[in-house]
Amino acid sequence: MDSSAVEKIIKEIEGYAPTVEHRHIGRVTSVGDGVVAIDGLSKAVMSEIVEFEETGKRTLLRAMEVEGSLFGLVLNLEEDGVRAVILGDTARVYEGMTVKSTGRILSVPASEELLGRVVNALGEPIDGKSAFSNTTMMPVERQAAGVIDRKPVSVPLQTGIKAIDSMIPIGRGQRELIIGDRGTGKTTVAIDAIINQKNEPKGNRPVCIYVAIGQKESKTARIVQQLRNEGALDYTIIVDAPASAPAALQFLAPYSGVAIGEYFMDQGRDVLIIYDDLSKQAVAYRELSLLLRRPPGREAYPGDIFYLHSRLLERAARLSDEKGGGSITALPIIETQEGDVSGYIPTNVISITDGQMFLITDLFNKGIRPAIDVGISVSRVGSNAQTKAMKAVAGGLKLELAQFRELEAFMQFAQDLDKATADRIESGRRMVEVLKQKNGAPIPIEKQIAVLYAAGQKFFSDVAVAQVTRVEARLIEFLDGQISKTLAEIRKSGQLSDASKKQLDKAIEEFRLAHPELFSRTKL
Amino acid sequence: MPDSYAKALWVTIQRGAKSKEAVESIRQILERDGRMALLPRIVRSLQRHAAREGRREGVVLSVARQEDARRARSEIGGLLPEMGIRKDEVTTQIDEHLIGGWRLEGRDRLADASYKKYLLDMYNAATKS
Repeated sequence: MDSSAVEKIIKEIEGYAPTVEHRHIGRVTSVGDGVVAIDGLSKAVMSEIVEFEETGKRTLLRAMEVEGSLFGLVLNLEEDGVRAVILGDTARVYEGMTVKSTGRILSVPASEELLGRVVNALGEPIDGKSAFSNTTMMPVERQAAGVIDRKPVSVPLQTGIKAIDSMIPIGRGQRELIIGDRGTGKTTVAIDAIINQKNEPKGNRPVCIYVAIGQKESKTARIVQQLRNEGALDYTIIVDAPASAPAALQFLAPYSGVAIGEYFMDQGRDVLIIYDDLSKQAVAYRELSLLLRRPPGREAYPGDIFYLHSRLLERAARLSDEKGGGSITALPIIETQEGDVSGYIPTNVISITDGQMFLITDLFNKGIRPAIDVGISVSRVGSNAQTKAMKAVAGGLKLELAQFRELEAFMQFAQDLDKATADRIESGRRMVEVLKQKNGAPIPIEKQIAVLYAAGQKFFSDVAVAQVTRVEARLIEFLDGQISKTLAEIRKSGQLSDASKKQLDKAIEEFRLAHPELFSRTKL
Repeated sequence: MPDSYAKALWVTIQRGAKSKEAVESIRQILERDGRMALLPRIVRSLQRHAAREGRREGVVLSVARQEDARRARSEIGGLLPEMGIRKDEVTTQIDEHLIGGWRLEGRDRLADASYKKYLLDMYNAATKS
């Protein structure tokens, strides 16, 4: 044993003031599937943390070998006792074990130390790095901010994805649902939103929290690596409750995530939190409720399944100036089965959130990625969360695309089209191409505005459809080199002034003259 | 269902009914309803219930050595009224694992002043902080 450890123990002995420990206790009468029936604990309250006394029947030496305390969460208060879920290794609990009340409601540690770290649903680090030393305990269950304590959503949260920032804009403090079948790019949209926050100035950059619920650990590891490579991990916290975690931890993880977010929100900072995905949290909660013998309802979900999500998502808010002005923006993800958005859980969450973006398998398979169906996607905050510059260039986009879709269907039956209709179809095709975007490549807002401005000026009308994406990329590169000051001005002011428009027009014309080979359109 | 019958029988006896009469009543009810097959399970459930109540009501003072019992009883004197326990309800048992001090457990309450607890607290504070 090294001398520093000996010194530490000597200090403990000298400073120790023995006190008699008084606790309310119970005794385990049955344990199975992570749920414990406890006899006693008559003073226990809902969501109280209880501690399992593993050291009771052991010698001191054996007791010292016990690794960390084992806790449970009280979820059922019954006539003769309580039922609790074990927050840890269930194999450590046995029948007859003494259970002590702690008088504490479940809390997780939160502080700046968590930035860049991966934690479990209890806030414990699981990335192999040091333990947290200086944290504030935040309650996992907390009342959401009231009406008076809130301010309307008006500051944009830029995702860096053109289709979203132009037509389904998200504001800080909003809840926008990402919904779609498996493999449609839901997580990609969310991760790109996190990566894009590195384009925000440090003072305005939101803290990002990615809550992985019931996901494969390999997927979460891939996401962590991607964020690290993109330089986004420094301002991100990962809360991980993988598929191998007990249902209790999968149920708790989103609440732990938002509790950590509230630490930053209470300091006046903005937070972006992603719940990936709430369908798995609902399944975990169903499993827990059935084990707790709560009566099953529709699709065997418990009666309070709506409340599970509503109380979570209500904690996303934009606070008033008196309360610090911080915000939590939530991007919950829901996975549908075969595009069925009328399912129980999807309809519940749609009715709670402030808008939804539908990702469609057909669009994904056609190569339209992100596969967002802008026709049925909506942001209820709308242009309140857009800069004036974006409003100016994206105002008619949704309508144009809607008209294009109608004409595209009509085109299959009509043989000869008039020039106006043919032009509209060609323009719509090019706009669809402009809105395509590679994953992991979010675009800063000023460049989005520049591209959409160019598209609005019919810049792409002489570009072959298949070349639009390539030409767009080269245009962005060109503009970045030639008029970076103008772009910075657009970003800073949020407006597209006449002077900026002139600069853009000039630069676009210079690009056209410099690359005539890109503008030989071939009709399909 | 056997648990419900067992609990009903227990409560009836607790309220002052004679055990023999209460058991006979239950037997007649089961016979009337055609549920005599439940009787063995009701008996087992009653035994478990009785053991549980006994544990809950029983108050045990654990000490490491017999010689520590007197001192322990004087130290817990002030705690007993708080816990709603009379002195004569306390039974003493020896648990060498405590090393020293005492541990009082009963009526869903725990008061632990054992040397084992103190040493564990110090060890955990020194090694896990």
